[in-house]
Amino acid sequence: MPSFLTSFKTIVHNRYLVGIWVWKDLHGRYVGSAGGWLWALLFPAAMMATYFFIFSFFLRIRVPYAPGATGYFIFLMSALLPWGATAEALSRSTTVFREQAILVQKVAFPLEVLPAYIIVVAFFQPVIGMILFTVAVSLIKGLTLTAVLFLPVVMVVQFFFNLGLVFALSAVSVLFRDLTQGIGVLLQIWFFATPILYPVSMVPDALQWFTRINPLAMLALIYQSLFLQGQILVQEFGIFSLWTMAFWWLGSMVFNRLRHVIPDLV
Amino acid sequence: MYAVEVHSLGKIYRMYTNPKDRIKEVLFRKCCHVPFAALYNISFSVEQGETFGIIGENGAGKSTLLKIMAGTLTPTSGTVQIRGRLAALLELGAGFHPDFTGEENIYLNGALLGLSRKEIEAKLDQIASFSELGDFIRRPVGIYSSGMYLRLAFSIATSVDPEILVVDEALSVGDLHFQKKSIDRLMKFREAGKTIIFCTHNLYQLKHLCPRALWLKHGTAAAIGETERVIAAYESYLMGKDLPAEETKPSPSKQKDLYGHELRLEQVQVLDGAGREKQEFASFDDIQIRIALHGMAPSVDCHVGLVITRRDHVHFFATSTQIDGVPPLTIKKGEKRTVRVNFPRIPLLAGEYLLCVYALDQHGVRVYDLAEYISPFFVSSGKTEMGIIYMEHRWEEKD
Repeated sequence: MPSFLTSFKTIVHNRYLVGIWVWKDLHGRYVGSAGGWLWALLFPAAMMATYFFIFSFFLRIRVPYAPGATGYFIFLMSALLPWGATAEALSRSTTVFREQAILVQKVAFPLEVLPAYIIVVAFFQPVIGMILFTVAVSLIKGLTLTAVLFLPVVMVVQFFFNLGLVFALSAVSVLFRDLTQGIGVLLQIWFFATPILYPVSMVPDALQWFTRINPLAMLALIYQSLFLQGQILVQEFGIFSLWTMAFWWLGSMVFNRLRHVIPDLV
Repeated sequence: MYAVEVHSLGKIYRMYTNPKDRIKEVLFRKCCHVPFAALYNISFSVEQGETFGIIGENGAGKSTLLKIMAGTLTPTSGTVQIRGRLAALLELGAGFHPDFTGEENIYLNGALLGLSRKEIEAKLDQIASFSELGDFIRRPVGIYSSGMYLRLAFSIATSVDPEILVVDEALSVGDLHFQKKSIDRLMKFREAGKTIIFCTHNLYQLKHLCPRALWLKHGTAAAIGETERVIAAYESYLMGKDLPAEETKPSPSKQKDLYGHELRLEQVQVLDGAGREKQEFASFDDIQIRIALHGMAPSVDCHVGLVITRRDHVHFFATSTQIDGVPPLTIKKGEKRTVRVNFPRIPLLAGEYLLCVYALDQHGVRVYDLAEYISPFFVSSGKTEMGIIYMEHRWEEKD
């Protein structure tokens, strides 16, 4: 069986353990606080409310396909929220094995569980944000049923995109600790190189090629189009899916090749 | 039927002086590391239902070996075959979250040890009652005392119900009550016919729990076999290590200057009661020491002295022909004479023992020749009394 299928099978097989780790991480954030799980809702709600007021009443930026005072707010959030899921997963991936060094060395459990739980946890806040955002957008300007139904499909593909990258990074960063610092720098550059804050039409013609090869630019365009025009960008979705498969295959292969040395090096 | 079979196992770590060397090695395929052998050519097997001990100094490779058996580390060479469900107690309370309640942590830890949700739910009450935490089971483990923490961790770890249990030092922690409970639980495992591999620094525990043991020394198997023998060799090694090296090995040139040329100690042998040369004895065996002398001066009168000692230079017994009123031996040039000392029913308990032999003049003052800390022999006692010698005793209830 190819390695990308075996590693996925391992995750599915150990879904209870992955779930326990997700619960430990999330519950661990809120346990002991009076607000508890309410904070999980309050944080994205507060962020969205702030952005809504700033970009609707103060910084009234106009972008194509986004009419009205709330246009830029919708444009910005539609790509910023999903970006958070990938960015958090990638930045946590480089330390996940070292943080759990003792467990990795002393308890025999499938190592796939650790990167897998990082990906799920990284999706948690963005998913709550997306739900609130979807409700907000449908109240502000209405959303087509196609957009609402296609949204989870895109997110599932994004989940597998993260999976490939996180698998590769988590394993390689055990060998090369510089990645922990490097990924922070890379994410910062990547964020501004991706049309999240600005529309893709503002990218100079000489640099348009970069947008076409940047998988997260494809993803941003897909989300923006869903929320602003209610359209599915078939071509971009196809390109992003190809990237996803490539990373998934590569990430699983790298992970399976390095898995035996991970406990030695953490 | 073997539960665990380890065959010529080796573990080599790559040591890099600089993190850049690792990148260089990957990019240019050049060798930039220094290999470090944590384990080298280890072979042993553990029978089903056996309790097997592992001893060794810090850094001898015990933990590496246990981790390989637990399946977390991959060996560089050799194989490990495990027959049956194995649970390793290498880390008590693995994955505990201090802010979570005891009950919640049972789920965390249990899932990590491979239990399903249903299995954990089924064992929840049993774990809670064994840990004796009472209502504290619903309080965060962060406020537990270290004893409570360990009780909970141990209860979860042993509830997995494995066929093979690998235990690392887990019993040397906690208060006496907990230690007793945990040993009792191990005993129950043993009675149930389960295999236990046990690593400890507590030689007393080892002797009581394990009939066979392995001594790891700098990553190699220094001794495997009957626990008593292995412990004797290990203790003896530890004693010798504490002494400066030159003390145990006097240089031959010095000896000649100091002790003259009249006589030479040619051979010292340890024999059993029937006069066969042997190195392994049991308590209350008969022992003979045979000492051969070679005359080098025309005629020398000589007394022979003998000390039974240990690597740490504790003398248990010393005597000589002079002390015992035996007339001195007269040895002519070129002549070879031997004396034997008979020790019927030696009361020594298990350990490694050494001899010091002296050839002295007729007044017992001048040393003609000597041989110190030689002819090691082992005694196994089969007794559970501790110490060096067996002393006759009896108990009675009396004021």
